[in-house]
Amino acid sequence: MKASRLSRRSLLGRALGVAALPALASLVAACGSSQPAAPAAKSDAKPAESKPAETKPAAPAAAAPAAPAKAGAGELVYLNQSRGQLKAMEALAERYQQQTGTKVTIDSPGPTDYPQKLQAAANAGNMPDAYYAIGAADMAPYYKAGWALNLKPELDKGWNKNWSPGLLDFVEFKDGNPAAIPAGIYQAPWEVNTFATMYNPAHFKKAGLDEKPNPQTTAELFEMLKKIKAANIGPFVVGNTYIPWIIESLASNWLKDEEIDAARAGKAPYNAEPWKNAIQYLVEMRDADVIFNKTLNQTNPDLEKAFFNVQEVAVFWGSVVSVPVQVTTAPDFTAYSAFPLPKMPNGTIAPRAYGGTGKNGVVNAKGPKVDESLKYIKWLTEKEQEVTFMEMVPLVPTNPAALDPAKISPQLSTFAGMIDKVYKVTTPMKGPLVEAFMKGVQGMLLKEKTVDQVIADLETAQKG
Amino acid sequence: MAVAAVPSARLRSRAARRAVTGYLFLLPALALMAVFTFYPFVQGLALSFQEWDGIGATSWVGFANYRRVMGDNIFWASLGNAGIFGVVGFVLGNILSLGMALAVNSMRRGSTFYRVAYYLPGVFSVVVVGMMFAWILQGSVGILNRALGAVGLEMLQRRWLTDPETALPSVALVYVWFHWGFGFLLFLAGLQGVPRELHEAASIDGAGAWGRFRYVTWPQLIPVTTIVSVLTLLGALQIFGTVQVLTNGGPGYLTEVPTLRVYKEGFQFHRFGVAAAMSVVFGAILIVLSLVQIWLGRRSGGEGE
Repeated sequence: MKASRLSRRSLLGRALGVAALPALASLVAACGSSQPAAPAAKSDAKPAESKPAETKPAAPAAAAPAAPAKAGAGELVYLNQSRGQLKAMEALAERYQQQTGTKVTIDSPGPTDYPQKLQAAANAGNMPDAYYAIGAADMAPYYKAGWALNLKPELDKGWNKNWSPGLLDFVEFKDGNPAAIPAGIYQAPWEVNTFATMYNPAHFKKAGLDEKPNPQTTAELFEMLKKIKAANIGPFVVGNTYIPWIIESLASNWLKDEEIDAARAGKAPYNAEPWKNAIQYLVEMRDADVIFNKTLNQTNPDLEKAFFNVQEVAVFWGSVVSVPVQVTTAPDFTAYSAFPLPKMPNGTIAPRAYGGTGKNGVVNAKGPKVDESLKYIKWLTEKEQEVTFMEMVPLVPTNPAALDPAKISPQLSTFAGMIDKVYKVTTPMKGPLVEAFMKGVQGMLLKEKTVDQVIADLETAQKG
Repeated sequence: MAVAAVPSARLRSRAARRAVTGYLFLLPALALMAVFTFYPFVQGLALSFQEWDGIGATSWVGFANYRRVMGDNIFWASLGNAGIFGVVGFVLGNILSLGMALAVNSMRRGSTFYRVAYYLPGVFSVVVVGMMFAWILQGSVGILNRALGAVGLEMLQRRWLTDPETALPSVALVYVWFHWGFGFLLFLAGLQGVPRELHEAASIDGAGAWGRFRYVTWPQLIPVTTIVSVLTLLGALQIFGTVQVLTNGGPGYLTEVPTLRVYKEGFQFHRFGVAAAMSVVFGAILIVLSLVQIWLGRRSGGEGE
């Protein structure tokens, strides 16, 4: 295969090209129609390594000089994805300017537009000085193209004290990783992301159950859900994009972390019993009619609305990132709580849950202000800033010095306690595999697919 | 001979000048099409033979992307859904559009209001329409279910967009509502071009309302119907925004459509080469369909005349 570089002009052409192909049919009938366009342009530079902020200006390892971000001297731009953290980011930017004189602009296109904006910026060679890393699978092209500074050298010089032990393992890429990302750490997270089973005590009470449920097994949870269903309340739900994570979490009753990682990497098959057992649990839920909306087709924001605002569902397996949504949209609803996903009765090892780290900062390795950006990202992970995040967002901070149990809300405390019960995998789950999980399980819930067919879909996606 | 040759040469020269002038007038449009349609098409075609993750380097992969598309069952299944949207958009959409156009055309007063009202949905952004109907069709607090409950029809309440039985029909109906104004306007224009004398003559000959429609209106509308049919069918087959906003292809793959597959391949799976190959295949299918439809339209037009 011959590698080639594209000029910006030809890349623009390609962008329009993907859009233009079906439209050409319309042209035959003198009709124009819009299609999704593929942005274009690229770089084949290698990832750069971090340099200490105190040393000379960084010369990113491979970087072809890119167009500067829209910031003048003494200014930085951080491209922010999170709506929930925007106010905290802006408050911190103001504090940073007071302390250092450097103005930081928080550019927030919103969560939906964020991936496209980031890609367009990379294609145009106009990346911000610092930005947020989405999922690892989405970020792999950026890391491979040299748009992110490898922070590992700087972390090893003592910066890593800002993280609880083991937390950075979630974001480190080792040599020979299946995604072919050069070894290193490319993001500095300031948020712990864990998953737990949120519940509404009022619904449990209405169903004649203990208002503080503590199911020890999934079988116990199952019986509770049946009673909730009998009380005519939506029993259990999980967002469609979280389907792969709940399956992995259930499979962790039999699989070690490295075995889950191996399956993602295509080195272990999905037709093993643990995966079948995990998916079978959802079949049993389907047959008992305890899944709210039956198909798990709703997005997490929809379900946050159903759980926090409309309060039509009793149990919601989700992430700690939903807590700020409740704080913002349903501040009066604080009665809910959470418990870990219980173990499967026939599980052979202690179950863990999906999780790791959340919001973070990436330094643009090709930008003109690598050192300044690195300094800013480092500053964000210091105790004082993490406390601000915890209080304003709120979130579970990655910096152990900032995690004050007395200040943390009851809802967050369960999630905070989950970090030791998270399975540790670093292989990004590829998009087609995520889709195979989501659509396969939905098809199974619709009785259009069997468990074996879902497994077959996973195997196909794994190989693709 | 010489005398005859001079005017002939002049005529040829004048015709050539006229042709050049014509081509010059066409040039701006041609340039725009070259930049925004033909050149991107060629680039897209080239991309379909390459591998590209959207950020990094490209590499030539021959027909690998096409082989992947040919073996992609989801893509081919999504064509079936697009076909359903096509049929609903084509048949139901055009029947409604034609019906509304006939009604408005026969009105003596108030036609302006109805023209605006019928065309209004097409003015909205697809995202606005999607958000609006997401609220209307929402399962628990949706307006439709609330309305059904208020009139004692609880048995008809559904989770319209997540129920496998109602998801696709719901999206299709939203699509029809969103796009009927386009066909309505063209049909109305066609109807207003039918000479009144023909109707009067038919009436004198004893033709009733149906007879006038069957033997006067309909034959006169065939050219308009042909173009409306082609455009509505192609538009419905290329449905994207309505599906993406309302169901994103779910539940399962029940409302998945080819354009959404192209989008997901590119922007979610970072396989822009495969996305381009899908676009080429889907574009080719649409071209064939539109050619067949135009041919059928011409044939029926010929018979009608």
